[in-house]
Amino acid sequence: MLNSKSDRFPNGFGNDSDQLGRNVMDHHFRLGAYGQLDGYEDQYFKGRRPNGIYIPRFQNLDASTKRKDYIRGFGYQGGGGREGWSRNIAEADFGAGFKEAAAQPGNWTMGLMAFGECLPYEDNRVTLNESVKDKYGQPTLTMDVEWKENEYNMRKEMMSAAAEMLDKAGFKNVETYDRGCNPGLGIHEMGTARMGRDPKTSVLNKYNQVHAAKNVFVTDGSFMTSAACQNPSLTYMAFTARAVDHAVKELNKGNL
Amino acid sequence: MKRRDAIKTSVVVMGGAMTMGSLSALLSGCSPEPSLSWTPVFFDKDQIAIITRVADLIIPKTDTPGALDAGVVEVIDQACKDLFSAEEQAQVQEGMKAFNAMSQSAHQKNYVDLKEEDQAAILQKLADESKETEGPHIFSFMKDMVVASFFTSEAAAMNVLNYDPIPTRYEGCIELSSVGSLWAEGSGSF
Repeated sequence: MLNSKSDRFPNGFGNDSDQLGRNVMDHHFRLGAYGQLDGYEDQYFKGRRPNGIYIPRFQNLDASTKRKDYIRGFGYQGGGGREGWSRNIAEADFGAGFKEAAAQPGNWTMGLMAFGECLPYEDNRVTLNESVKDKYGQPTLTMDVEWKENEYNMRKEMMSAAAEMLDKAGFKNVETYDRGCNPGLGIHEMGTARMGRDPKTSVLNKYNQVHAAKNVFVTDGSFMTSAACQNPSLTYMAFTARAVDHAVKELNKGNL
Repeated sequence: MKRRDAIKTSVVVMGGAMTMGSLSALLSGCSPEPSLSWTPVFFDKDQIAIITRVADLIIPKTDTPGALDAGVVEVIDQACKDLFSAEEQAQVQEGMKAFNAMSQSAHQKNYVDLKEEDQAAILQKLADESKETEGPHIFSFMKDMVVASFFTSEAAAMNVLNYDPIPTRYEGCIELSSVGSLWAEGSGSF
């Protein structure tokens, strides 16, 4: 759409609002905590677990869960298991004894990884770079997206709350971790053509139609106005189903 | 250090998988010593001889196959060429000097010419040293590489761990004694 310029749309197709390409969002994650649980050494598991555990957002839901240093929040995904051969073996650094011990399951452990909401920011945006062209002569995409204060403040609690839960649940050697996370790693890209009631401040209407060209529907993740903290695919599908339903009805009425 | 090891391990696991084809070829024609049936791409022949001894000491053949039966030395050589940055490669090359330096100062011989117990003693010294070291150390590196290449190998999966080709339904609570050891899958845990 940015690339489709015309006299009517000099800044890109449907871009009367200058919102096209703005408010890029993704989930920030790759941090949390893990801990070890004593006991159950003679128990194991078998087969493939279809899913792990999920802890829905519990921050900023009401007055009692209001946080001081960030708005919105995060959820946890996680699971339990037993340590494998990559753990440290206390008895020996190498040799036959090490080999034998490493082939046995280690401690039971549980890990929690947080997935946090990124707020929409106008200056988190993609733009076309007319001065650097790809091999087809098309302008390349410049992506200028970063986490900001709200995300970084949230990330502190994404670790500490996980550690607190594991600790209260009786886990030992609880450690937080942060493997670092840049926008894009979540592969939950959202925004850049947000929907809204006002054509002056949004690209799409509530049926995913371009405000200024009702026969064009945009139904990937770009319509999203906020990212929440959940996996977004089901939401995309629900909105797409609604957009398609609307399109068929409008077609039948002769409005499209 | 721990986190770094975990990252390295996951890299190595991928490297191990990529070389599975050549690995099974190696397994069928494995002779205990000299004349390499393959050409190293990262280490020189002397370094390969040291790594061969180290791999054998870390995971020896017992009543089950060891690191050398699994062809880990070739995997490590290939992984060092393909998976690490120039800086990490330089650290490995520098670190490899420790083996001969320590054996020369203690026994006036190269590492591969020592008796097995002397080789093991030097390896243990390096292991102890690695625990006192912040950041990369040749022992931690070699151990991670040997362990990951071994436990992701066909030889280990079939003979040391439990290989379940069709895992199917999840059973969350079974007696460990009914399977006896770790499942052959990734590095364990979740």
